[in-house]
Amino acid sequence: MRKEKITLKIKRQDSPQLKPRWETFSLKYRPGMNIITCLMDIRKNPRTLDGMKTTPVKWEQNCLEEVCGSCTMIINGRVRQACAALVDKLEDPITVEPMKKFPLVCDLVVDRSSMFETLKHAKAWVPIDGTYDVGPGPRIEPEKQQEMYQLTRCMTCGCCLEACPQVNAHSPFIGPAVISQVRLFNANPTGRSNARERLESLMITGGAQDCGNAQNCVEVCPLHIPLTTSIAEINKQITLKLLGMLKE
Amino acid sequence: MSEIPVSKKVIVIGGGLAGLMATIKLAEAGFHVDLFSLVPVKRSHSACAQGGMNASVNTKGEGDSPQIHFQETIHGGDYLANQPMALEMCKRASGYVYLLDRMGVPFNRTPEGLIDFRRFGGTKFHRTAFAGATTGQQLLYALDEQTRRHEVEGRVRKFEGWEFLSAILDDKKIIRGITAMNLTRMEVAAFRAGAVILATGGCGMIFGQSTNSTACTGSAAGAVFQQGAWYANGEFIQVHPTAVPGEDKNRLISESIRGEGGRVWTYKDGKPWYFLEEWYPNYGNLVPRDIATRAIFKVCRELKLGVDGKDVVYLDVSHLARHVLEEKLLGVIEIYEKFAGQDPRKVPMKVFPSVHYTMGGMYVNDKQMSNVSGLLAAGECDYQYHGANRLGANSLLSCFYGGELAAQTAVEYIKGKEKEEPVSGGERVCELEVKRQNEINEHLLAARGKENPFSLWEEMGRWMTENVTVVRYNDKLKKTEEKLLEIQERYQDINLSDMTTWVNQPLVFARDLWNMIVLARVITRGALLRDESRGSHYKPEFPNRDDEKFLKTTVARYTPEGPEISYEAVDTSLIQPKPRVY
Amino acid sequence: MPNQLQKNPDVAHFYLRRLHSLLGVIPVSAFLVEHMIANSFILKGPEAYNSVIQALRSLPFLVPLEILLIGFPLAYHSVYGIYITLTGSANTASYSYLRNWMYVLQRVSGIIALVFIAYHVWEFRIASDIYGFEVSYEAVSKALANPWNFAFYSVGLAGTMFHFANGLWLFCITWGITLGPKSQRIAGWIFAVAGLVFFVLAMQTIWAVVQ
Repeated sequence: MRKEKITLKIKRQDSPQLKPRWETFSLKYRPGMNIITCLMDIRKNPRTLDGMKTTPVKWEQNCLEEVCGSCTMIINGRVRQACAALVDKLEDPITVEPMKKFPLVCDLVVDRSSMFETLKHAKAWVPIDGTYDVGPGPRIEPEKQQEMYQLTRCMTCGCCLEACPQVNAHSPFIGPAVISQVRLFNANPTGRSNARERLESLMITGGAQDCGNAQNCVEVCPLHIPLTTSIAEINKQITLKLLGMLKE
Repeated sequence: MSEIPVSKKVIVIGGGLAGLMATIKLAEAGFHVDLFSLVPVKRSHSACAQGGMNASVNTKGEGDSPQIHFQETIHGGDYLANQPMALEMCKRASGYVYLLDRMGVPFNRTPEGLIDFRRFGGTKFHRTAFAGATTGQQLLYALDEQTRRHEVEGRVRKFEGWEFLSAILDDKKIIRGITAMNLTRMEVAAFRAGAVILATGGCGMIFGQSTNSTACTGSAAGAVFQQGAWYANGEFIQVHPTAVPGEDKNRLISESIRGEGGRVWTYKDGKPWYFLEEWYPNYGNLVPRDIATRAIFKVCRELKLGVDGKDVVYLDVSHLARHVLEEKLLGVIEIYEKFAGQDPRKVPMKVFPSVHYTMGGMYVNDKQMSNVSGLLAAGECDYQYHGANRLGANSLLSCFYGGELAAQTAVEYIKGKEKEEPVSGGERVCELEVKRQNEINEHLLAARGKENPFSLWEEMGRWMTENVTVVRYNDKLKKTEEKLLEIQERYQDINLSDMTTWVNQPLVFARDLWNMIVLARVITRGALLRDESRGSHYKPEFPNRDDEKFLKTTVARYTPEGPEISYEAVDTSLIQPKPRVY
Repeated sequence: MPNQLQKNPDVAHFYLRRLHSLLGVIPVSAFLVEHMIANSFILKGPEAYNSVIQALRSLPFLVPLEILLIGFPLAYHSVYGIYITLTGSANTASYSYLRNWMYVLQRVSGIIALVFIAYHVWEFRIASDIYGFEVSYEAVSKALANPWNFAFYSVGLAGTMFHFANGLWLFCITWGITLGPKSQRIAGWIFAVAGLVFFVLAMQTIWAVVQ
């Protein structure tokens, strides 16, 4: 059996202007706990290990079943969703930190809006005429559907950017997520019509070419999206475009 | 965009499927939308929908039709849904599936390349289009992408990370806009528009643990309820038969698992006992959710035959072909694997029912307009379409239909309004409302009581789950009402443990909590007064459906003393209510 | 950071980065292969080696060709490579996957190779022109007889060969030749063997010359 108490060391920062600090909490262990239940325990009784009163720790959450991507943070040095981080599988004491590759807002809350901005930039959508009922779309073979399905699962959580050594304050790289989305929409029978523009959106500072192939992205992606294949595939499409051989 | 006239602007609250559908439709109609969401819209609760979306396209030659879909929806809802609305929704279903297909949703395919359909509860037809076992996520992403496109083109402005606080109503009780609070800076601001669509989802959080996301507090509906909007059929809360209980939330194990052949069982006399198949030979594991849930309750609580004597039954897919599990059910299998730590491909899953869906909601007319002029509702936060029990895979459908209809109505409403009187004006009411909301915040921040809002919420959740879910007794409901009053009183003695004005999550939660308590009272009062059993609402003291007295929509109106309940006739003009036997 | 993308949409950046990748293979790697083969004549004895050197040094327009076909590409590859190295932030402590280590080693080996090649070019090409001594079997043998220099060469060659082999693996991804994990794994093995073979060959060569 496990010990009765677990220790949580949380990196806290009240606002972007203030200095970060570490606070240690001791919590009663219960089977099936995850990091979210720990944080929920703390907000019910915000006291540190030495009994000092503190404020409830702030974090983002929503679905708690790893499909929304909200509660991404660094747990024991590794980026992941807090809801799926089971205490039983973590070494004690557990350290919890905010993601470092995004602007900090407060405690474990960071601002990932830049990821959504890149989706705008890359035209990550299918350019349909309108939402009127004009019958079914093109037929798609089951194999192709399976391939697209893997890519559409991206929840823009930011794990791949966090783990990427090429994504940081002194590098312009946009990260793997959006490149994979370009692959998805370029593979769509209707989305293909914008393929050139999407590729061009990645052929600029920080685009696909700035990937350093450390391939951490594919290791940390919670949904096992084949990100490195997406990057290589987009590289291929860009090469073909350069050679004037990109299929319309 | 500040110069856009109020008469060309609609506010949508909530960025799930219904909210985004309304947003896209409004943008296409040439309107400007201010879209408010607690979380980035891509992280909305619609992402949690797993199994699929119903549409009777009959591609498998089974003789399915929208008419049959409609009949089963009404029958499944125990005749409490207004029938013409539900019929129209069912007729439009295939159009939505095709639309989503064109948007790039990777629906699973037949070998010929057509959209595949699977079985779901309450029907014998293959009627449910699906994308793996994360259909809601895929649909949400498709709408998110289309919304982003409109955003780039300047027709949509997103306010992500904002909490809706209240409607701004003028002296004539006409909506002029909303107040909302930024969740980072905690500032309250007024936003004006010609109409407001609430698409804020259900209120599962009232029950503590549910399959809902943490944003599903029902707070927005609770807030406008206190401002005079009516709330209908509050007592109808769907408890899904199969979820994995957890301390932070109960994780849904989709009905699609049973649609693809998963079986529910427990041990009886040392042998597996497939009680659903034995009790309901026609539908087996695919009886509607309310019935399956009551059956599991009976097995665990009455017969004491839960696995190891606990509140647990098995849901077994270990006999299914590997490719079915990988291609059609992967998302759900992964959730169980991650959170329960066991591989459902090898061992049966341990599940128990959990609060899942809010059939009741804001009272709306047949065009999604609430009783407050200019305030509309769509999606899970309205009460239409599902009656006393929702059929699986109908919720996504109602989001699309409700969202589209709400957008149309908003456009008509604003256009009609322009002729009557200018929609402009109302700075004064805006200022007053912002002031009122700021006072609430200041009051909460200054409170130095001893009640922690999160502990208070947990206590409420326990009471609600224990007494106001599957099996309801009047004495317990009365006690719950008293408890809720007590909680409401103790709320006055609150302490946020946080006085900051930067990302003050306890403050936001405390505000939500008040609205949750108000709605909890609506739910409980509705359940107490409805002396019958219908759909998800089951009282052993009144085990039968009583059409004479209760084939009626419950309508709750706010009074400071508590909800005032009245009843309204249900539109049953198309199908005569029949006994509900499966 | 990703938000810099909108602020700084520089198309040239793309071409400069791809050029770096291309030049690493053609001509830099191609020259390396040629150079290794030429040097391996050392294994056939002083006469064979000296005659190869003679032949190469008697090529017409040697200096312009060297500057244009090797000097410039190598300089560009080096300078841009340093820039790339500066834009990275190694995180093998948190994410100690093989490919992440290779990412770091590619940068480290690049720096090693740069220092090594700079010294090597000075020692056996530029210095010989300036001070007017003949590059020959004897000269090489004398220089490498110094154990410090030999050790330096060993490390330099190891770095260069790693950078070469892993660089080819990266090239295949950068240009979209190897797409999936399987093809990348196979390419990984092929280039690992190629790099190892060249390293062994190089070590044999410098070992032979000091014997």
